[in-house]
Amino acid sequence: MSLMRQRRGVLTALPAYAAATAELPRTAAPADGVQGAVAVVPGSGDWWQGLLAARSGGAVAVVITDPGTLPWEALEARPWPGGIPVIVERPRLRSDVVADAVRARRGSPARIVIVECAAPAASLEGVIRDGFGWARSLGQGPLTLQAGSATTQGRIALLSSAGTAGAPVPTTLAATAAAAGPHGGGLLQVLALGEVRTEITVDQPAGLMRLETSTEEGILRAPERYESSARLALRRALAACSSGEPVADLDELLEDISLAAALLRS
Amino acid sequence: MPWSVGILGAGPGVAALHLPVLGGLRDLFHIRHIADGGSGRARELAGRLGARWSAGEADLLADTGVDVVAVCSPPAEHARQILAAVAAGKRAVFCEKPLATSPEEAEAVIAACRAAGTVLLVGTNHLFDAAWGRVRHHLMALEGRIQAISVTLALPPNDRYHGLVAEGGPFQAARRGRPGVEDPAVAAEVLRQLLTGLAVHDLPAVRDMAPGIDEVVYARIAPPIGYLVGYRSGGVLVQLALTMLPEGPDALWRMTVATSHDRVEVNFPPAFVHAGSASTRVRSVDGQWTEYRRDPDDGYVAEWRLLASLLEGVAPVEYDELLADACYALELGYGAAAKVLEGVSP
Repeated sequence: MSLMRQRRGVLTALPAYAAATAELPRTAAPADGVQGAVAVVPGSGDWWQGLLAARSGGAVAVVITDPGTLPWEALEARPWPGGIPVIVERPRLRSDVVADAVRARRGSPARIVIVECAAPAASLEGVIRDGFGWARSLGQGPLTLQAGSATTQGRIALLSSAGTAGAPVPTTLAATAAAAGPHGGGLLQVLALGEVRTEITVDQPAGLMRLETSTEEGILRAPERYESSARLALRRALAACSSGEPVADLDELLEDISLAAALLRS
Repeated sequence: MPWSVGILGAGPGVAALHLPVLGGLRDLFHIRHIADGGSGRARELAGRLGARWSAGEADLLADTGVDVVAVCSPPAEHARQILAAVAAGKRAVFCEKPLATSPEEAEAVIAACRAAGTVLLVGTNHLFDAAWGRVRHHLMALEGRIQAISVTLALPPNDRYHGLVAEGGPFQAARRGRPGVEDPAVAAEVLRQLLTGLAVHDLPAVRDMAPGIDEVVYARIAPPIGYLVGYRSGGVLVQLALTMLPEGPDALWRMTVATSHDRVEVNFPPAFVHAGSASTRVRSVDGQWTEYRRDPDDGYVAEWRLLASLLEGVAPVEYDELLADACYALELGYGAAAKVLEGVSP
């Protein structure tokens, strides 16, 4: 098989994905059309329509980049018909860092998970959603909302995740609307407390993603992930096309969106 | 001339905390008398120091050489022993937290101290931490732009730290096993005691920023033993979390304050040790993090130094603040316990 025939086409107008394609020269190549290609759908605007259009156009996989919020009702009314892998690029919830965090706990369950978010009001819901993603991952199961309260600038909530072996993991959220700084994005801090402690700090204005795992022996700081978030997402999409293994990204995103919407409606 | 201290209580807090701290403040205090509740530990502790010892409180209170009574007994004894110290004409009372176990007790204690002119200080050591003092100054200048406060504690067993500041343990009381918190009534009482006995370290500082308790949003016991409590104070949301672990990393004792334009994080050192003040970080909305230096003195040393200042008349005793702090913790304890009994369903 020639090299060209091994490479999968990538349809994108986004510079980050054009660069990511160039960084995967053995497995990816720019494509002119959606048929048979991995389609990159920008997460701004109505990305759901973009997702459906890519699928109906013959895409073999879709990458949704850093999806913004959509009304949950809109998503509920248009169930995903499935059939092709959908990879969701969530820069605050990188799959490799999540895997690092879970692996570093070596099976030690979290006793409590604490999520704190601060972001300009327009982007707060997205930060909350990704905070729920972290809590779901560290709490080892889906979250349910138990109680909450809001002020004009803040919100707190108590949730519970399924946990393992029938031991639910209580989870709290505190989210506040901060003034908009010169750079976009917000701050997300997650603590999983227990015999092993995990602390994640994602500070987009600072360009910071830090994962620390603490045990009685000391603190292990995970090495920085230098692969771009776009390349990681694209590589996962290409791998999903090759392996045929199911990808849970979209279901997990919808679960987190649903929970964030329920919180903000409560 | 140092002030003479008589200590009511001979438990871990005395052996591993107050005796070593006072040993480092010999220009200000000396230990004259230690009394236990009948355990015999006072004799051992006092013997090393050449101090008097007794069982029960009567002999210590009758000791005319004692200027300052340090109440380090179980919480249920505190108010009664303070009143007894005032009646005995002592100059000052240092009371380990909590001040009292009911608002009525707290009011009686404050009224008696105020009437007699007895100096009173409650050992909420974080309140006296120099780093917190600077943070408070920063936050008060924001004029109401505080949005949320979180106080998060993840604590390994205390005996890990006892051995770093004292000898002759074990100091840890025998573990009594996990209380039967599956019973809501037991869970409510355990939660109330944890809030008034442990969260109370930070509640006076929280009260400075969130002065009322308008609504307890949720309250529950967390495994293996701990709590999760959320409440609203006007426009400020407060979350308190604790887990006490059988093993694990060093203590996390963190207060975070979110304001409209920055985020302040105060990390207190573990209990008992003398690692200086809390460390403080401030994160601004543009993603700039600023970390401030620690002071060499911790809150334990600072609280005893303050007591000396109060005795010398350099600073006034804030009776009203002490009463308000005590009632705040008690109100939160009752409110959280009631929330447990009603369940967390909104």
